[in-house]
Amino acid sequence: MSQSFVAFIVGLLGLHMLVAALRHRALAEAWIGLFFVSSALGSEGVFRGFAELDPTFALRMVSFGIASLTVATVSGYAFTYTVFRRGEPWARGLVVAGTLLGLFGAWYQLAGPTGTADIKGLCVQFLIGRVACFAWGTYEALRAYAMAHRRLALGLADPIVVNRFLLFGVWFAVMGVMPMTLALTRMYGGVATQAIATGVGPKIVGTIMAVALVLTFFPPRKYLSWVAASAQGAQS
Amino acid sequence: MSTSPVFEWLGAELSTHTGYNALNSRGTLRLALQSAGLEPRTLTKEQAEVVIARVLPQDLKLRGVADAATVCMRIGMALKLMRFAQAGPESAESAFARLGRK
Repeated sequence: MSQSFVAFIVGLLGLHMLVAALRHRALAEAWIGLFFVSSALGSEGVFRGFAELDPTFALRMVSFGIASLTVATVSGYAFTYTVFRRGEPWARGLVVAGTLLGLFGAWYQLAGPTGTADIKGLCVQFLIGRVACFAWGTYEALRAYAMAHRRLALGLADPIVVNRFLLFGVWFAVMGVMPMTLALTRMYGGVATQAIATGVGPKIVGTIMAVALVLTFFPPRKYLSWVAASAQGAQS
Repeated sequence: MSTSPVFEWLGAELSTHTGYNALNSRGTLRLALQSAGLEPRTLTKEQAEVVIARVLPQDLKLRGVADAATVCMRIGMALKLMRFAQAGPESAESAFARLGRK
């Protein structure tokens, strides 16, 4: 599955979520919608920019991509806060800290201490805030899954929603692992190795993500029946 | 961390019926909610009813409360008559329920 195709699907999903946010007047949908749209635009921007030979155009693409990915990171923090930890002061602090980390990373990638943009690959400094965002979201989703699983035994949870927590945890974790893998490949193998990883990583990650995303947001009826039946079987 | 009005009421009621101090009753309640996969800040009346009927009697019995079942029955009956202001923030479950098809 090509990276551009996944980005296109993710972008469409984001638009769908933004429409749902307007319809339900709900912040959760608004943040996840913005997260998807900016992730799609951002990943297209950076991957095309890194592959571009014309340095002026590459810089434009990378700058656009990094800005979009920073918006996605902030939206990711905001979504996790809104859904899992709304009203908790420490979580609000985490969103502020994450936003600052994201902005620092964007500055480091596009100017940094040398005043020159890095248009060859994602730098670790850019990824710290982004990976932390995915780590937090994954932790909260898996924690919510574990808790909802206990509620299920008391008949206080919907098995489909319980499963959705798990799916969310899976694709959020996978989405966070991808940039980390690329950065580590670049650190230890150089730009050339990263170029190879860029060709392989997003395809594997994209496939896992696409499956998990479909099952989260547009699950087939058969899958829903299977989840409900499994939960019923486990309870009896 | 802020707690829901249901949790506050339940804590006070548990103190009255068991002789626990506020700290003990809230702690006992927190543990019962944890084992049921619930959170004090989003606890609703419906969820509390299930916890009182199915989790709390056993927990109180383990802590040596005499007549744990009767205590829970009384609290449960009193809870049925209560009306609460809407519990804190929207739960993660209701937000996730909206995200996809059911």
